[in-house]
Amino acid sequence: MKSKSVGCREAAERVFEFLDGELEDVSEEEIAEHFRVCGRCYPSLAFEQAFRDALARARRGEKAPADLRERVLEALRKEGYDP
Amino acid sequence: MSRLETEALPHLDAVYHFALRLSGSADAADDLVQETFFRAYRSWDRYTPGTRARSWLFTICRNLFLRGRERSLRHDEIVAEGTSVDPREASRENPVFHSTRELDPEARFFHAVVDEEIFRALDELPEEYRSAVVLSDLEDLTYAEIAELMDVPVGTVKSRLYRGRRMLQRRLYEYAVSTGHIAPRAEGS
Repeated sequence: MKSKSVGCREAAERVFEFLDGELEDVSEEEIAEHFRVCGRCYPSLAFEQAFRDALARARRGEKAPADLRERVLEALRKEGYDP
Repeated sequence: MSRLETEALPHLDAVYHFALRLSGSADAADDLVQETFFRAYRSWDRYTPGTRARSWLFTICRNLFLRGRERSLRHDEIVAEGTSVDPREASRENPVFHSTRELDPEARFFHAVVDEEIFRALDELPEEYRSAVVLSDLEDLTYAEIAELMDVPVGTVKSRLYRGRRMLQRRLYEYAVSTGHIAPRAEGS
């Protein structure tokens, strides 16, 4: 079953804009409704979401060196930085 | 405390992560971050208060990286690209999704890929695609911010994100197959 205003083709074309919060001439609700009711398209949304989640998890797990801030400030002070 | 410290330094970690993805090494990222903040300090009068300091710092960082890369003649493969995503391309079924939808409908295989492999796959993307994906998916910049930062139209950002994500998904899928986290799709199915 499909929603009336958004078809499978449009949902496929807009899936990234939808997940990125960047839809223009179509509302988030319309696209969300299509994915909610269309058994054919919903798995593709779940697929893209799982991909994004994996990237976000990797980003959260990566730490910058603990002393980086102090080293940057030290280098700036040598250039005359005086807060 | 100066405005540099209140507006720019809170983004130190984000700039480091971006520099790491650009350069591919912790030492080079460290140098890029130092240089980025040094340039930001020197041109602080050109920063408009209240605008997004993070995008400005990313722009400085990327420009420094690209300049260094030109000097070392280490060019990524130049990839022909359009300024927008062809709707026919976007509506075509994603081949990786097509391969996994029956075996792994929730795409759990992505969660089985270790972080190091995700970063390795990202590092192998051509810079234009890598930067777009990192800035959007890891650093949450908007299309307009990425377009300004990379000095390209928004349509090109969408195109780079589309192709970059598909390339990355292909690499992660191949890794998941090679480590046995998902079975390869049978030929002809």
